[in-house]
Amino acid sequence: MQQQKNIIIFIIVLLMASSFWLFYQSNQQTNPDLGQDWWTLAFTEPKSSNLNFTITNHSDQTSFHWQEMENGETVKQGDVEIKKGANAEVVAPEASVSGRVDIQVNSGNGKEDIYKNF
Amino acid sequence: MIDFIYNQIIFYLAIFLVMFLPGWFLLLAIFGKSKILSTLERFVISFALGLVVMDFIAFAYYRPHIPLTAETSILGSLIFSAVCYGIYKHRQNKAAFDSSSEASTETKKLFSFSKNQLILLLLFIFLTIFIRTVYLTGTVAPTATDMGHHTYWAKVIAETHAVTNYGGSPTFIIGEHVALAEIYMITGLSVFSAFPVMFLFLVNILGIMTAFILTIRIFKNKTVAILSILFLGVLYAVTSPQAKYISGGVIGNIIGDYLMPLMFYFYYRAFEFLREGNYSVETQSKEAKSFLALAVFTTFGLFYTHHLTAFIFLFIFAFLFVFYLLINFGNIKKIFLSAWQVIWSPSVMATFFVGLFFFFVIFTPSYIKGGAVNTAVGVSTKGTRVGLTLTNLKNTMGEARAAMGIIGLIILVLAYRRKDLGIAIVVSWTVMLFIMSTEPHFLLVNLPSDRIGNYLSYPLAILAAYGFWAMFKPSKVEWKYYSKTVAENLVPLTLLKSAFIIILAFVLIEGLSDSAQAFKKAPNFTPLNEVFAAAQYLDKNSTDNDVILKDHNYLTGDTWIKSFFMRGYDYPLSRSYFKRYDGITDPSKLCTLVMISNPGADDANQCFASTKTDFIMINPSYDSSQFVKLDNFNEIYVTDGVAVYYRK
Repeated sequence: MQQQKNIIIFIIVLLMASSFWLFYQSNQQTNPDLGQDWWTLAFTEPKSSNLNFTITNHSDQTSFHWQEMENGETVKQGDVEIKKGANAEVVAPEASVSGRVDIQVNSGNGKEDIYKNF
Repeated sequence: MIDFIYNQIIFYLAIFLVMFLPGWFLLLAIFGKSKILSTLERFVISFALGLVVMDFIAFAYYRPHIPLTAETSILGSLIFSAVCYGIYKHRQNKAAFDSSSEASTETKKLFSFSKNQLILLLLFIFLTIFIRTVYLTGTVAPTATDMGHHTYWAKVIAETHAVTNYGGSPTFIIGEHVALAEIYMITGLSVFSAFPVMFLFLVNILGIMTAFILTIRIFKNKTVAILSILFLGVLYAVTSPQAKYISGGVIGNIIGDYLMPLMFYFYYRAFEFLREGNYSVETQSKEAKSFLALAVFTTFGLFYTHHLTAFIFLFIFAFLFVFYLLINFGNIKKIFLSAWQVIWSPSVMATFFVGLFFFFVIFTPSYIKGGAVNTAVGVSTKGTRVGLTLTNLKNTMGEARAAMGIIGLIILVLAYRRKDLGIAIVVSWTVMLFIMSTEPHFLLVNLPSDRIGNYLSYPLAILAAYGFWAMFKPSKVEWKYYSKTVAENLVPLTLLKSAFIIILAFVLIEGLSDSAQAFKKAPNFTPLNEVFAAAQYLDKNSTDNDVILKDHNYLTGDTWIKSFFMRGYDYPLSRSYFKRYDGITDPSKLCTLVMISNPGADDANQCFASTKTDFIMINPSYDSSQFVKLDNFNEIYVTDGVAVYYRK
């Protein structure tokens, strides 16, 4: 009887240790701010003509340079500091011409681009 | 850290409440503290019974519209356990638990291990859990397609507070999701956490332990049972249907591989008295009836959980029935008369009819109405369903396990107690699965052959354990036709010892090489997190009127994103694997393909109009160029691995 109880306790302890480890690993792996290096660029209002955009940073880079371009011509640019795990919304001017308006963001060696057609 | 520990504790508590507790009390009500079951057996069996009990409680809530919530789930478990305890006390007062001393002695004998046996058993259990844990470390993140589907349905049950019929789809079965949903509700843990994987991991380990207790009961041999853990749990620990099925979220199979051996265990113990050759039920009638009632109950549990396993079980059961009667042809009348005394009993009949009532009146699984049975029967021309070759089978099972299993089968058939029910179960289990997976047209089975073949690993592991033991522990084998063993007759002892070392090395090297996959470097999880971040963005910036299309080919973990939206199983739309579109001519069924692959084409525009798709999520490394040149698409979200377009 005691022998079997020991076997059961052995199984339970091993499974609990596995559970502890796997939950920990899962938390690590699905946390974008742990050991990962990427960031996102998105329009704050995707359906409207508003050009405000949000940068969400999961990288070690904290300096982001942005520029707004209308049909390839830069109309406004600026810099923004964003800590890892944080995001920042940038207010961009409304489009003044028809055609394509790009928001281009550079950080370190990375560059991303989003656009709306008017 | 405190949150983490709290989550762990609440997770264990939920497992205890929705799996262990009701099962343990059910066994207490039936057997009391009788030694007819060992402590280890009670532990292993309780979880399975608990799963089935909680399924039935959820169904019982369905008709009177009692919401299935964390509170009602816990209450259901506690009330059921309390009722069982009441029955136990009542029966105890009536001295109803007087199991025969013979059964108690046998249990004690079978589950008392020598020091060496105990060390070996604990070592194999440790390796079984350790190898899986290492493999799951790199695969626990929510990426698997099947798991994404299953967790969505668990969330649906949790959010609607009722069991679901999956919109009539026969693909999913309610027993796969009730426990997951209840754990989700009780713990409040995210479905994106490790809990679904951990749940399956637990079920998988319990399935292996069930094969162990089945083996020990059938062979009455502890060494063979311990070796069965080696062949099932330690060797080929990663390949299907083991760790890969856990991480892949193949829930039905994993639970099926727990319930099916358990059903064999219960059926075997119900009719165990037939093994002795006197076919007398008198000494064991009470326990036999209880075991048969549990077998019937578990069978309903399987039919509520996984149609493929249930379908396979029916074939094995039919084969077993015919096979056992054939090898005991001269005693058919005695067998029927004795068996009938067990079958025709209030507990068995009540379980059977209550099960039927639930199955056809209270809650009928979607596959019964969905015609899944019709699609599983017939002659298939699909390459994946015409049967495995022996080479396929060897690769599926593992060469060493297959070889040892065949040796075990031959020795068993030739030399063991051939009329024994337990042996008939193992032989039928193996032979029927072999026929179904290699020659499915013989039985008009129209199911994926490799899926069936995977089931063979359980009986083959038992046979391999027996074969290995029988070859190298010959003095204990009950040879019928020889005064000495075949091995002793055929080969000198030195050669036998050499062969043992060579074969052991072959088995270990071949079997453990599979586990090398567990130690591969963990993948990069950035693509997964990018997809989830994009899904969260879309969830925030879209409404129920928007239709999203995403790509399944180049996005990691994409099947999980439906759990962010919770707007239906088919939401978002998905561009499937390209091969799935081969041969399709109906333009409407090509919409998900053309809307991404060629969004400017006329047929794509018709698809956009008919499906009202306005958001598209793709991997920009593969699929952005076709959108950039179109002025009716805005690129609204981007990161290295994901881009989202909005169609104006």
